[in-house]
Amino acid sequence: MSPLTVDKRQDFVEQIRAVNRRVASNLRDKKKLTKKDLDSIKNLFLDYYEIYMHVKRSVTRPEILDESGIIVSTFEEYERHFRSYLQSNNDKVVEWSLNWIDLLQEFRWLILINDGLADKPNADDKVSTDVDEFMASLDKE
Amino acid sequence: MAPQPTLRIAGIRGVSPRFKRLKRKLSPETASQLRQVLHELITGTLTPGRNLEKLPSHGSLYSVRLNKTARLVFELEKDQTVFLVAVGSHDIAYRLS
Repeated sequence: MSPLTVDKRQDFVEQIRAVNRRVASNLRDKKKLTKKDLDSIKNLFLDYYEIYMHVKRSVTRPEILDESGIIVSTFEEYERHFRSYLQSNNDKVVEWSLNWIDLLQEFRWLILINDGLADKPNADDKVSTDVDEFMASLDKE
Repeated sequence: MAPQPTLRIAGIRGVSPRFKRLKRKLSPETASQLRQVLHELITGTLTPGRNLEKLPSHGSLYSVRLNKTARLVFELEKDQTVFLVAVGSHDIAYRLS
């Protein structure tokens, strides 16, 4: 994956558009996606994640990010594309399902990690070294 | 993701509110493995089978395997303490790898 650098707040919409164009290029007119295609598309999802993280960090107050609705509708279109590819390849449904689930799972973890970092509390001076005590404290809350 | 040498942490600095919710969803077996892995991290006895990996796109984030279907992701702070970021199922990637 080529590192995606989002330098300016106002650039992120254009960054998403650029990734969208690359996704479209990968999906266009293909009856089947190869593992290489899927790997490429997975990397594009990671590019989305980089942008998403940038937005999460830089947008501290609610504001409109997709005024025209084009970004959201494009994302929805790609979801339909993937579902269509999956359903139209019955002979390779197991392989396709695994690849697709792999992709979804990685994406889910990107969100999990992002959300876990996004709501990181302020630094706490207390450091736990007793695992049993620490686990018990989690169970209590 | 290149395998990392054995890591010994100085302690657990904290968890996110989301991590607490994820932890509650763990099976007793997986929760027990989480306890075991944290113990191994603190004592520096993490085995290679845990597949400790540095996440490529994040300089200080690590992933470690709890069992065949679950993993823990944590952030290593400069003082060698950790912040627990996420825990949950991750069976497919390990099955394919």
